[in-house]
Amino acid sequence: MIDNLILGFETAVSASTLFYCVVGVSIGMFIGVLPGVGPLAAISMLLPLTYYTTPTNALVMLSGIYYGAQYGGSVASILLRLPGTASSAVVCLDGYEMTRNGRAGAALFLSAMASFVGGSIGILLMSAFAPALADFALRFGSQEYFMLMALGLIAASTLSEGSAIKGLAMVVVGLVLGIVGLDTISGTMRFTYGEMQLVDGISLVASAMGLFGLSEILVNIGRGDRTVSAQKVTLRSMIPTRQELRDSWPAIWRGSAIGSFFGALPGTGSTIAAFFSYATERKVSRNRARIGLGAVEGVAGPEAANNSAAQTAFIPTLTLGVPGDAVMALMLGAMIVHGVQPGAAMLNDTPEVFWGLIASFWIGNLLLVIFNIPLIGIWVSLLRIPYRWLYPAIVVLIVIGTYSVHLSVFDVYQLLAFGVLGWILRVLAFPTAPLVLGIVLGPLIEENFRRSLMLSRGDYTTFLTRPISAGLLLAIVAILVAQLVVPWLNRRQQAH
Amino acid sequence: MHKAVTRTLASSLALVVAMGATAALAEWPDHPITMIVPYNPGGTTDILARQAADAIAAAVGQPVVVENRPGAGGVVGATQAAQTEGDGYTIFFGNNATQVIQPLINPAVTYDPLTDFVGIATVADAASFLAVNADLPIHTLAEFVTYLQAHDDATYGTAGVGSMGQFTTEMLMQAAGTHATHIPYQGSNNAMAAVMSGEIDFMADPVAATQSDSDRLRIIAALTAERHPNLPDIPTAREQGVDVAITGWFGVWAPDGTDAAQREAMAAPLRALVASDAYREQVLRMGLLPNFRDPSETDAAVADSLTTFGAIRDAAGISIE
Repeated sequence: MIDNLILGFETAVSASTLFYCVVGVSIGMFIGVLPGVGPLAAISMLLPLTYYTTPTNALVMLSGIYYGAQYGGSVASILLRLPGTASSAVVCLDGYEMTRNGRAGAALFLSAMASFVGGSIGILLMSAFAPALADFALRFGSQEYFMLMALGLIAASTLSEGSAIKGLAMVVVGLVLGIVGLDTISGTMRFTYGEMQLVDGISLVASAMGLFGLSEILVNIGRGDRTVSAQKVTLRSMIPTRQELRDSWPAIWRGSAIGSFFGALPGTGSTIAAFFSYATERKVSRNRARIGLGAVEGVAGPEAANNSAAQTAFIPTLTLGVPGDAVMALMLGAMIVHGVQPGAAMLNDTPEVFWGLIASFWIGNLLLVIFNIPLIGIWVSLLRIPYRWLYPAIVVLIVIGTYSVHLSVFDVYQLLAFGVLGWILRVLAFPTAPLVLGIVLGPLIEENFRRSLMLSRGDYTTFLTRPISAGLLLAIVAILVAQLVVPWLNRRQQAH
Repeated sequence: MHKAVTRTLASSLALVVAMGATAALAEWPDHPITMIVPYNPGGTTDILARQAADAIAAAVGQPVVVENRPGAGGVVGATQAAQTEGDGYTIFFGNNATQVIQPLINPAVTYDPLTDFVGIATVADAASFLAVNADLPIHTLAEFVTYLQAHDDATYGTAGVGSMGQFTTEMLMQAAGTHATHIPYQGSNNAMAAVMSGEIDFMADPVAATQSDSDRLRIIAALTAERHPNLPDIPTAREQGVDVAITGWFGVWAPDGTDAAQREAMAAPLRALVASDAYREQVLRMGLLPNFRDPSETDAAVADSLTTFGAIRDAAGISIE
């Protein structure tokens, strides 16, 4: 491994490769900050330009955009409750509360630190165990994905503050919205009402932008120009306290582990990883009572998770030739056009590309931290702009970002609809995060459940006879018992 | 250098010939041409479309602006293209999903590929391969047929209901007289992962070509008329005694009403493009086959496929609602 890494660094520190790495991570960070514009749009637009450089340089730059976007994604989430990318939506919850508590700088600092640690752990795992992790990922069949997503649903219902019934109701609404579109298993159009643009389902970007970002703006309209911007930006407010640092570390480790796992599975990814990490923090972190009110764990955990997932997502793509998401599929296409064949043979045939990429990930992550820390002051000072100037600009950015995903005006209408829905829900004190997770998980749960039963010819024991699936089922039962039965027993004891 | 000169010469020569044909070309094009691509940027169709757009632009002397209109498996973009005026300023980069499969299986499709579109050219053919999980005792098409006859619980994966993969597999099984259960996935890559892990037994899809070195998946037949130049050791199904050769294509269409001389003027540079070495090499690397068809051959290919695929649809009962 050491020899390989040396080979990789020899490739990655060459002047031209380093240049492409800097360009890639800078673009990535920038588009991550912009609401709605994700790595998919940026990579697909830049892909044709990369035909004029070497395969390694092209891949280093495109990958840099991919993981760089995860760094930038949390900036707007923390400052404005506006997810820059879908995977940083969950960071809005505690990140924005920290901003309202005057800890915006500290939140950004911790998010950069968590991103770096999470990314580094992902890269470390990738350099040491890529083939083994790919083998492990292939052992996840439809049954295992179903159980994993079911576990996610239980996590979803515990995502939010306040009434558990309201949280559960929002998960169900999310699942229902997830039904819209072409059903993969039967090929039936469901609730599309003849509208071709709904065939691919509800737009995740439009729903996340609307429910989080646009609704925040609508809620603030009519409250006058009362802002969080009144706070002074001092050096002290930008650096996390010792207590905040101490509280963050366990969350970062847990988030990195969760993220690395989900990233390596083709078919899940950084958005689901971030939600799982947040749900975990709500259950196990020492300050769990304060999660949702601006706790550092709610920022550090999900940020570590989505960054480590962004790194380990390269494992199935590079070692199996199986891309986990649309962006990875695009990268795979780019490699093939460049004459690099990802898959089992890549480690042997083109080791300089594989290890060069890994070395560039280390360098890229380091660059991202170095870029990010000095920018914190600038980001925070954005809050001093009066809302009457800031909000119209933000609305324009959200609309452009949402439009850019599918170049579709219809998605902009969805955005507006979700913005109004989010506003109504917030006025009625319904949480919106479980709704988004429901939209993400709904189609995956249903598809994998039905496919499992097709494969087993209708035999439900298929979920029990496969060891990983049975283990996950056991975990679900254990959590349900702990959540429902134990409090009930306690209440009974108190009653006596 | 030499190649470029030849290419330019060839295309300008063709253009001159075509230009002589009609006076309609005298003023056309006096402003940029829009090419609608019904998929996201960066995918196979988009990569080919941009090269075709550049070639046409160089020949006609006006920019060809690519407009990506993704959604619903290409239907969103195709519908939009079908509704535009056939004035020579809008063209459409489609494939056999937009021109054949979706019109056959999707009742919500409002355009008719034969009357709403006219062909300009094809620029590449898709090449499908039959691939099985590497742990199965299957190395040839004969062993494949024997295996399916002995295992009536065999499964195959596709990119979804009504995908090219489902049509290809059903056509193969009709020819071989076998049966297997269809398991749809969200896209070809997920289906391929399932073949590699052994969740399902086999698939017939162009994506399999990317796994020619894999020890988890084995390619046992090319489902094309001839062997793929980049995988010369993989025999075709016909060589192995099963009469199947399925063709999918990528190409340029125009809305109905577009002037024939204008179509010829756009087809000529595409013929030169497909003949160029750089293009051929890249297309082969993507697992496709460079194949030019002129406007009338393109129209004939659509009509032929509608018949062939329509028969498979009816026999296998493939539909979405």
